[in-house]
Order: sequence, then C-alpha cells, then structure tokens
Amino acid sequence: MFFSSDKPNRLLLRQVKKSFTDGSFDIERFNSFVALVNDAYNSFDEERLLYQRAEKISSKELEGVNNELQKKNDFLDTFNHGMAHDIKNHTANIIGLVAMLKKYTEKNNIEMIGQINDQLEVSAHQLTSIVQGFLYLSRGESNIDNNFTMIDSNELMELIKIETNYLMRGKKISINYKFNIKELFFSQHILKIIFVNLISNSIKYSKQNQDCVIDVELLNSNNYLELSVSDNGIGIDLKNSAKKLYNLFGQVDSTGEKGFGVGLYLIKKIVDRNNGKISLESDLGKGTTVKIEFNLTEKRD
Amino acid sequence: MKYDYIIIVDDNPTTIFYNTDVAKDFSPESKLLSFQNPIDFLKEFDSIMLPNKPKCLLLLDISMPEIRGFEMMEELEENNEMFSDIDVLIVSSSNLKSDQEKATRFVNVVGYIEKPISVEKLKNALQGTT
Repeated sequence: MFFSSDKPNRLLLRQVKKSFTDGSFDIERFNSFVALVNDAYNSFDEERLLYQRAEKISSKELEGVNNELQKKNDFLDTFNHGMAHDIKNHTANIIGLVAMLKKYTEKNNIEMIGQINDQLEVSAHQLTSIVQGFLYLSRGESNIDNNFTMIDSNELMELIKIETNYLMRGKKISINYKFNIKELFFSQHILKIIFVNLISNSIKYSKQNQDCVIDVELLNSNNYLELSVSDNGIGIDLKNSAKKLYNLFGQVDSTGEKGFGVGLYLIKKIVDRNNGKISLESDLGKGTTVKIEFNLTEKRD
Repeated sequence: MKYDYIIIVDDNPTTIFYNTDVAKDFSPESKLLSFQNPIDFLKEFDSIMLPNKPKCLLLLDISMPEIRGFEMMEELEENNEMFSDIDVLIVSSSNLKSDQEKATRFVNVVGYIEKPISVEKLKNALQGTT
C-alpha cells in the first residue's frame, strides 16, 4: 500500500498544505485523492504479482514444450538415421549387384546372371517398401488412410502374392490364405501394407532347418474386420521384448536377430490412425501370431 | 595375407550373396563361410577354430539398429581367447565417427570399410596386415 488512507503521512500532508498558498486545502478532497492513488497503486501491485506468476508459469511451460520438442527431435534423428541406413544398405547392394552383373555378363555366365537378377529384384522391392513406409510415416496426414473404396478381397490377395513372391524364391515357404469376406469397404493400400509387412517378418524370422508355414486370414465378424498372420518361425521372447516390439528400429534381444525395424512400428501407426487394435502372441521357438482388428461401422472422416 | 577362411556375418541375405562373390575374387583359395545370424556364428566359432586354428578374416556387418556386431565382438572377446587370433574387417553402410571409434577399441579390428565392398577396398583395408 502506498499510504494508509486512515492515517495520511504527516510529512506529505504538510507539504501538500503548504502548496495550497491561498488556503483552499480541503482535507476531505485530499483524502479521497489519496484513496484513489492507493487503489491505483494496489491494482498495479496485483498486476505486477500476476505478471510475476505468469512469468514463472510460462517458463515452466516453455521448459515442458522444450523437452517435448527435444524428444521429438531425438526421435526424428533416430528415424532419419535408421531410414538412411536402411536405404543405403539396399542401394549399396544394388550398386554391388550391378557391378557383379557386368562381370558375369562378360563371362557369359547365364546361371549367375539369373541369380543376380533375382537379388536385384529383391533389393528393388525392399527399397520400394522402405520408401513407402517412409512416406507414410513422414506425412502427418496420409492419403492412404482416406482412400476407402470397395475392395474385392481376391484382388487384394493377388496383390499381396505379387508383393511377397520375391521373398519366397529359393525357400520352402507355404502361405495359406483364408479370406472369408468377398467384398469390403476399406483402404486396400492399408490392408496390403499390413499383410505384406507381416508376411515379410514371418519369412525373415523363419527357422532355417524347417519349412516355413504362414497362415494369413482376413475375416469379417460382427462388423469387425480381423486380420491375422501366424507363422511357425523362431518366435519372440515377449518377456524381454514386449515393450520394444513396436519401437522404431527396436531390437529383440533373445533371438539375436535384427529387430523388427520399421515394419511393426509402421503397422502400429496405421492401426492407431484408424482406431484399430493390434495384438501379438508368440512362443519362443514355436512361432508368432499377429492379430489386427478394425471396426467396420466406425465413421470415417 | 593369406586366409584359410573368410567369414561373412551380415543380416541381409543379398549382402551375403554379393560379399561372398567379392571375397571369392579377393582370395580364391580361402574357404567361405557366411552367417545371417550373429548367434549362429557364435555357436559355430569353436568348431571353426578348434581343429587347427585356421587363419580367419571376419567381414562383419555392424550397421544393425543397435549394433549387434559390436555386441557380438564383446561377447567373443570376453569368452573366447581365440577371437583375438582372427582379423576383423568391419563392413558398414555408414561411416559414423562414433562407430569407427568404437571399432578401434578391439585390437583385432584391422579396418573399417563402407558398403558396397570391392576387391580394391578389401586390399586397401588389409594392407599392412600379415
């Protein structure tokens, strides 16, 4: 408080009285003036305290926002680094294979040329699927989420076969498809990405000394679309790895195999963006089943 | 630099296919072994080394997400004294400084090359080793 209005500062009072040389000083008017000054001062004081508090709060908030940004930045860093790694691995293979192709063309070694071509096809496909995933993940809002059309499930199955065919070359793999739904209204691209990624994981983590059997299902039950892919592969030690499963470039410890990289992370993102559910069951040494569920009645924007 | 064995450890089958071909050109007299899974290599290590301690060159991929290659080497270094007898050439898709520094920690890492490998790159990296 600037002055106490009940007890005006004597020194001030005297000074003020003195300035009224014509004797027109009015104590009442003076007091009400003092009260006004007091009010003004008090409200300034309140504002000052408010500003101080706001300053503190916003610096805390800023810190929070900053931490959040830092995290996002670190994530992007890991993401970009991992992606660049993956892409470079495949381009290095392609460069190498092309040099190899040249060598064997000069030698006219038809058998090797055929093998190199197969490997080139694998690399090109893998590169494409990495870039597809990259595009999906780097776009805040993706077109493929919105592109819902009437899908013929047989057509979908054929597309999946085409995109997984190259993975099966030279390996003993049987894939059993069970699609109990003929037509459905959904994004074909989403279903294709999910199935191709899951099948490619199943092949990647298949046992070396045993034929690989993969069951691929697409079922419609009570307005829920159920996708599932199960295999008889090496399985995942869920005790140690459950938390890491959907991590970007996370690695599953116990198997010693390279982690899922971008595949499951991408699928989880797609499932989340479309309000679906994903679950993974696995027995180490026996196999893995991934199930995904979408509500078909849900309204889409 | 004559090697009885050239061992390739890389999680990508296409890379193994390619690296095997380059290794054959680099050293036609060496036997070639490849492992897609580092754990399998760890399991086989003794049976490769024990008979007569062959001279081995390991072409090791470390460009796996959490650097399995380094972990694999740590494991071998700790548990198997024969590991220091083999030459390790790190093959990576990146030339990250941090990885290269990590690599120098292992006494038997003789070099660090970027993918794709070639006969020339192998020769250059192995210059000076016996």
